Amino acid sequence: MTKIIKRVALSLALLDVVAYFAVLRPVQNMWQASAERFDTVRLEGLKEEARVSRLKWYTDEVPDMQKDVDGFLDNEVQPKKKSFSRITRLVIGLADKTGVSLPPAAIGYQTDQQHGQLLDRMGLMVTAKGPFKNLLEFAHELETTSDDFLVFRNVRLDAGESGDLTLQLAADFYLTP
Amino acid sequence: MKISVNLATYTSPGERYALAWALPLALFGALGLVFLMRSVVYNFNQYQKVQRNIDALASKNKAMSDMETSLRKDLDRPAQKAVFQKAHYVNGLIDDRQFSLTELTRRVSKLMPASARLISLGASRPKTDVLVRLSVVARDEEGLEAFIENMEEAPEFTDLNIANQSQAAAKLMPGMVGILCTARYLGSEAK
Repeated sequence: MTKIIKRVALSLALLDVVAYFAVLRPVQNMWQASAERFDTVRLEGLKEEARVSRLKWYTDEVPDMQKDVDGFLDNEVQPKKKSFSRITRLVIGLADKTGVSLPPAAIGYQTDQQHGQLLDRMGLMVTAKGPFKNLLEFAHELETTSDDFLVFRNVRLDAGESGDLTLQLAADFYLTP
Repeated sequence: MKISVNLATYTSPGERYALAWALPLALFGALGLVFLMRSVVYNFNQYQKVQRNIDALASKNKAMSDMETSLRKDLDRPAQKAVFQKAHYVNGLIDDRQFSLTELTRRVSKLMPASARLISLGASRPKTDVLVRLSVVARDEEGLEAFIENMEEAPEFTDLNIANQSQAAAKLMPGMVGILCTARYLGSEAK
C-alpha cells in the first residue's frame, strides 16, 4: 500500500512538472504571441482608418475646393485683356493720389506665360520718388486697392543724394489668360 | 540471565516515514495537476478569443484597405487631380500674398530709436521666407546699438546679420554713422 502511495505521489509530481513545461508554457506563449499580434493588427487598422478618413475628407472636399477656386478666379483675378492699360492707369492714378513722382520709364512690364498653369503672370517694375510717408502710402494703396491679384516680390527704398527717397517695387500680377 | 531478541524486520527511515511525505506529495501533486489543467484551459480560451479578435480585425482592415484603394483610384481621376493642382496653386498664391510691405515697414519703424533713421529698405522672397535688407543711419553709435538690440529682441525678425558699417549711407548724411543689415522676416507667424 505504501509503495503504491509513494509511486502515485512521485508520478503526480512528475506529471505536474511535465504538464507545466510541455503544455502550460507553450499555451501561455501562444496566447502572448497572439496578443502581441493583436496589438500589431490593431495598430495597422488604426493607421488604415486614419488614411481612409483623410482620403474621404479629400473626396468630400473636392466639390467645395472647385467652388473656392472658381470663386477666387471670378472675384480676385482680372482678365489679361487690357491689363497693360488698366495697370498703367492704376499706377499713375495712385502716384497722383499719394503725391509721389514717377520718373521717365518708371513703369516696366515683363510678361510671362506660365505654361500649364492656371494663370498668366505679368511682372511690374515701378520706380517712384518722394517723401518716405508718401512712398509708403503709394505702396500700401497699390497693395490694397487694386482689383488685380498681385504679389510684391521685391521692394527697395533708397535715399538719393538730393535727400529724396526712391522706391523700386517689383510685383507680379496674376491674370486669367 | 535474560536474553531479549528483537524479531522486528528492519525498515529504512524512507520506508518508515513514507506515508508522512507521500500522502501530502500526492495531495499537492493532484491539486497542482488540477490547477495546471485549469490554467491550460483558461490560457487556451484566451488564445482562441484573441485569435478570433485578430481575424475580425484583419477582415475589417482588409475592407478598409479595399476602401482606400477605391478612394485613391477615385482621387487619381484626371478631373479630381486637376482640382487639387488648381487648389494647390491658388493656395500658394494666397500664401505669397500674406506678406505685406506696409506691415513690414510699420514693424521696422517701431524698432527705430529716436536718433536713428531708416534710409534703405529692401525685401525679397527668394522662396518662402522674406529676406529684409535694411540700411540705417544714426547720430551716434548708441543709436545704432539700440536699433540692433531692438531687432534682435523683435520676435518677427530672425537671423539678423550685420553686413557692414555703411560708408555710403554715412556719406549721404555727414556726421552720422550707418549700418547695413539683413534679417529674415517671419511676419504674422511670429509669436
